Amino acid sequence: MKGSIEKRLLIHAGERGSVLYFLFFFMLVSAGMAIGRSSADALFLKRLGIEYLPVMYMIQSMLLAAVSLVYTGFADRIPAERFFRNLFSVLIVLILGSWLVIHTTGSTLVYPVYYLIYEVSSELLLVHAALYMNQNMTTLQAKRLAPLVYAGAQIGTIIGGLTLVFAAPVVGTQNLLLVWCGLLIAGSVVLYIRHKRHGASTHFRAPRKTQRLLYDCMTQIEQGLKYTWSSSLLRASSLTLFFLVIAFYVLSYSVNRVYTQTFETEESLTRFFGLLTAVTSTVALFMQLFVTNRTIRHFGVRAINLLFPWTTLASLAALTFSFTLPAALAGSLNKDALMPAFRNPVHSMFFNVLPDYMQGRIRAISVAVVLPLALLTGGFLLLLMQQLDNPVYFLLPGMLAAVLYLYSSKRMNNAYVSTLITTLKERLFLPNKHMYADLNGCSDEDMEEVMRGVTHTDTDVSIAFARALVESFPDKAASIILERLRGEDNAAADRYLKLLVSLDTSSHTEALYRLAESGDAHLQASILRLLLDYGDPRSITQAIHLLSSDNPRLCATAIHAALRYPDAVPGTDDIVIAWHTLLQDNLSSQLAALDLIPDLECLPARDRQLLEPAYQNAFSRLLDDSSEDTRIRALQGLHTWVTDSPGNIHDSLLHSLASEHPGVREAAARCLHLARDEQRAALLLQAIGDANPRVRQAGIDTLRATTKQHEALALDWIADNQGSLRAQQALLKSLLDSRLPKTVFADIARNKSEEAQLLGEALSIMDLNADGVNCHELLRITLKEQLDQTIDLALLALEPLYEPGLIGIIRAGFASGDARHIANACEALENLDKQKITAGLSIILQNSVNNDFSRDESFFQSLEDVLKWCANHRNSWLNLCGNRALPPINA
Amino acid sequence: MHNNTMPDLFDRLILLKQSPIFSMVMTDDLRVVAQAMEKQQYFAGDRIFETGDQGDHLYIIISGKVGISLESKSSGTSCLATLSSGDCFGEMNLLDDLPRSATAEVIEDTTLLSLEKTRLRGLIQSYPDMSVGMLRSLSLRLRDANRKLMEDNSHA
Repeated sequence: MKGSIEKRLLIHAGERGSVLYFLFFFMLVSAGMAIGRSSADALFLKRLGIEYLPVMYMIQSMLLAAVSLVYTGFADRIPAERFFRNLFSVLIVLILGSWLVIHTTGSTLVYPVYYLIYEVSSELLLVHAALYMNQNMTTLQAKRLAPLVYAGAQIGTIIGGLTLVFAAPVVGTQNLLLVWCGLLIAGSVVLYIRHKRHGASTHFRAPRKTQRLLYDCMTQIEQGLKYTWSSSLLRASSLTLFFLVIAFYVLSYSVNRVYTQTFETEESLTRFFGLLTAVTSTVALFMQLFVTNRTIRHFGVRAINLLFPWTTLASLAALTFSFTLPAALAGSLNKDALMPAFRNPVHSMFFNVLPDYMQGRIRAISVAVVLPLALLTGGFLLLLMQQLDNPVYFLLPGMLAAVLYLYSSKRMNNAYVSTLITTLKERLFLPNKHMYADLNGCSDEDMEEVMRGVTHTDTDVSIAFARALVESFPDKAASIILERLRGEDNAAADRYLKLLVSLDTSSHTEALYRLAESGDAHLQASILRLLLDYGDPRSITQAIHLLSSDNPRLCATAIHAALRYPDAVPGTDDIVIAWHTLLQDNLSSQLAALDLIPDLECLPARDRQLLEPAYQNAFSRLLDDSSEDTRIRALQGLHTWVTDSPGNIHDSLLHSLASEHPGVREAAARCLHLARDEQRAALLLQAIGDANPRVRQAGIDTLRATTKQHEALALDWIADNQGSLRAQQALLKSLLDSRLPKTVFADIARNKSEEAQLLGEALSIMDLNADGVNCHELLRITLKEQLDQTIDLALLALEPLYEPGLIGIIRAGFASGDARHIANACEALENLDKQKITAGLSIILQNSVNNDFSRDESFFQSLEDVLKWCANHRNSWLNLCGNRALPPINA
Repeated sequence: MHNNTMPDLFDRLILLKQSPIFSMVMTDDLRVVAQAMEKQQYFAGDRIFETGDQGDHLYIIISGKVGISLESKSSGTSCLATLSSGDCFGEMNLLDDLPRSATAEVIEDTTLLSLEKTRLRGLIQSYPDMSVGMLRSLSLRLRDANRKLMEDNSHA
């Protein structure tokens, strides 16, 4: 029963206590506010007169600005609950003071004062309640639970209203002040107990403490104003608030004028206010419980944001045409039922997307600057217009304000998604675009930075920067690299030399010869090869003389020189003999001969036929060698091999792809064109799903090189869920830059969303049937991992559909693991264009965060269904875990 | 019919997922770690390591009890913490090269799984995606510590 109610009210596991607390706390506060409001209005309107109301609005505006200055200083510096305690204490003293003055002096001055106490405190409480919620909930929680919590406030208001109906004639309107005091004391006690037990608000982050309160208040206002100026959402939201306040107070004044004329005595007016409050709050409550949340989910935040502007415009229009009790009642229903039911929750969600550190200040700007300005304008307009008998004169400016309110709400909607994305980006510290920019053509400062990297003492770091230098500054790279490799050992120098292959080294030949003289035979061979490939004549002569060298690399270099420059050596017999000897000799000779594979094309067919079997034998021997470096060299040689592959290549590829050495796996992945046709797809998928990015890239490169329709094949694999999810991700990434139509990616996103839904449902059933058995637990963990990966895959597929980087930010938010970032990522996703695709995915994302995929028509009926589904899944790891979790057939 | 070695692998994976350092590593990637772990047997009173020792292993308890103390001459009764089945210790030494900061002494006969530092580092180099999961685990741990610190401060 409890579970069913919680499910209906969208309360998730572990939230019951907090929801009950917020409900009760806001109920107490609202009951007090309802009593305060009706008593203040009735005492003011009947004992002073409605003609003073516009003046009160103007005074109220100035008072609000002053009080808000102080509020700004405290708002986001202390936990929201502590501010509540302070505010309640001050209010209790002020209300008790007012009650004493009413009873002892009979001064009429106390009524406007009491009216102002209520108005200012109600604004502060409204603003601060939202901040309090934000410090204790994420966007997603707020979206689900805010309507419910506000419903608690409405129950309080109803109770307060009904209290007025029955208590006002008995105790008198002025004694209701004591009831309000009592409720404030009760609220303070509840607040104290809650935070004594649960600590400070979860999302409160204390800034540095300072003694300069006034200065800080001004600074915060200034910062808030600057931020408002820079944020399109805040600019629109400030305008919205400005026009809303004018329209709202014109409406308030109008309905109060009708009510004051209709109800003659103070008690009857108080009773009416109580009844009206109870009725409008009941309507609001009904909407918050059964309508608000569902309409927001169905139509989206942005559509619901326009509802209240439209109804306000309609209410003012109705009063313009008929300044009577029914139109006034409709106006009250709008401002007291529709506003809390729709406008307040939506407004709270809009604010929630702003950075945490600015939220308090921005709310203060609303109360300290925008609201007072609007109130002052509204009060001034009413003061002028009320002197004219016809209400149309003050209703028309109200209608104009309502139209502008509607317009600025539309602008606010447009700014909402972009602000969500920006905030998410800031929170995740994602680098700016320029950090991704290609270094090519960048400034001198950037080049100096790269050069500093090249001179780094760690060879690996230095070589990584040297590679960047070669790609970005090819004209300057050679001299810098040659300078850096001076003094390095032969092995390191050889690594640097490999980077020079693509560069123009013609002006550095002398430096290279000097380096060769000081190096070993291996380095000499590397340098000679570099110079030969560049066509340096001296290197040809030097190399040819090395044909009879004992060193296999020098001998191989001589063979290379003789074949590339045939004029230097007449005939090929000696060369082929030397080459054949290399292949038949020891391991290092065979390795040296691997460098000569591209030179085979320079030989006549007769000579090739002699050498090819020797190569086959050499490959077989090298691939069986225990040294990983030897196997890598052999596989690299095979990568360039175009004729028949050695007999043991298939077993070697299988063995090498499972090697722990990433270099072996990478080299094997580049040789997969040699795999048997029936095995190639599976082996390619294995390589593309490897846990090392270099191996993955090698797999992708081989797929592209070996398959004409590689894009279509990759799409088939992704659609059929073949290979691991990491493999599918690598395949999808390789397709992102292709010219495939966007609909293809939309289909993938849809397909993966459906798969994610199934994984989520399976996970929910595993959670419900948790029994502590290890194989079940492992399957549950695997399902969760696959769910997250599948969601990420679906998001990745959305990337080409939107502007560059946008989905990347949402993915980063989801991957962060932080509830607030995930909430904002969901919210951003839900509000993107092409909502048919994203809306479903957003719900899956939210369900994933909440770990609740249950739905009325689940694909799975039982745990057994889930186990069978997993055991038959195409994903090999899920399949393995599923099979392990299935009970043995004979059990 | 299941492979005889499989139950052991599955149990090891669960133990690894429970350890703070591997909790965010994908189970599929953890298979190589699970296979690289060695089973060790200790008896009550044995010292697995002492404060100041050069730490080069991570341990996960399969069965038994191990006491952790800050003093080098600890006894079972003065333990800072008593660890049991599924608990992991010595994991920080896998990443830093500092000496052990505590002593681990066997309270009840204990079976452990151990993983050598150099072995893990080799696996990280070979399967770098695994290290992303480890970094996430450490980051979560750091966040958790920060949160607790903030809570303590706010209570104070």
